[in-house]
Amino acid sequence: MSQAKIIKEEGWQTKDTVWGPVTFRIDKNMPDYGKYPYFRKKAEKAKKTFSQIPGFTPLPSPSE
Amino acid sequence: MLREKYSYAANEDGASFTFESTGPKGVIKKVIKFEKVGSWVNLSVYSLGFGDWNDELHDFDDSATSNNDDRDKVLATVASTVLEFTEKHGQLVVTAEGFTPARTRLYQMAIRANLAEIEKSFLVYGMYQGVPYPFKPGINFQSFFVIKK
Repeated sequence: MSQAKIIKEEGWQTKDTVWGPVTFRIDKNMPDYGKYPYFRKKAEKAKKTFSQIPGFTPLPSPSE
Repeated sequence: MLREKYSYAANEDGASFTFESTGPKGVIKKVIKFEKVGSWVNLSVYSLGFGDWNDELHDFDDSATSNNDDRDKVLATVASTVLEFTEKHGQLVVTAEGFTPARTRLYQMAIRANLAEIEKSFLVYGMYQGVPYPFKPGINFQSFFVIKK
């Protein structure tokens, strides 16, 4: 990140990364997408799969 | 990974990202969400969630297969957000698994095609029959995870 070159243009910035330049902006008003069941299901599926690895400590599910 | 990517927006904590896929099917809003699911050997483990936002439903479409002729550009953009997320939040685990075996195979193909570049920044593993292995072609992994070097 130290070599990142930032070009500001109407909220958009371009920076260099190890995988080439990316253009992005910070959205302070982005909705909380984590509240949607879609992502909850994805997270629960990931948790179930990763729980097969010894030593993994899962976070409690929201319903627990 | 040096190929073309979409511009994206990030929320303030750097755990949610959005971008717009543009192609024959029009403009499709894509959302990426990193969600903490637990910890493993002192590393936080995050799930990479990725979906199509449906403006009419005002929700995500579980069955979405957008076919917008931009698969590589979309996957390169998602990969860039993994890099961004790990650079902001430090050493951690990011795990990814498709909703369907076909989607998981798509992830596997993308990792295989870009493995040399990904391994410059990440340790890459696949889960097979409940056991993690260093990623290598030829195994149909159940899911994948990366750890920032």
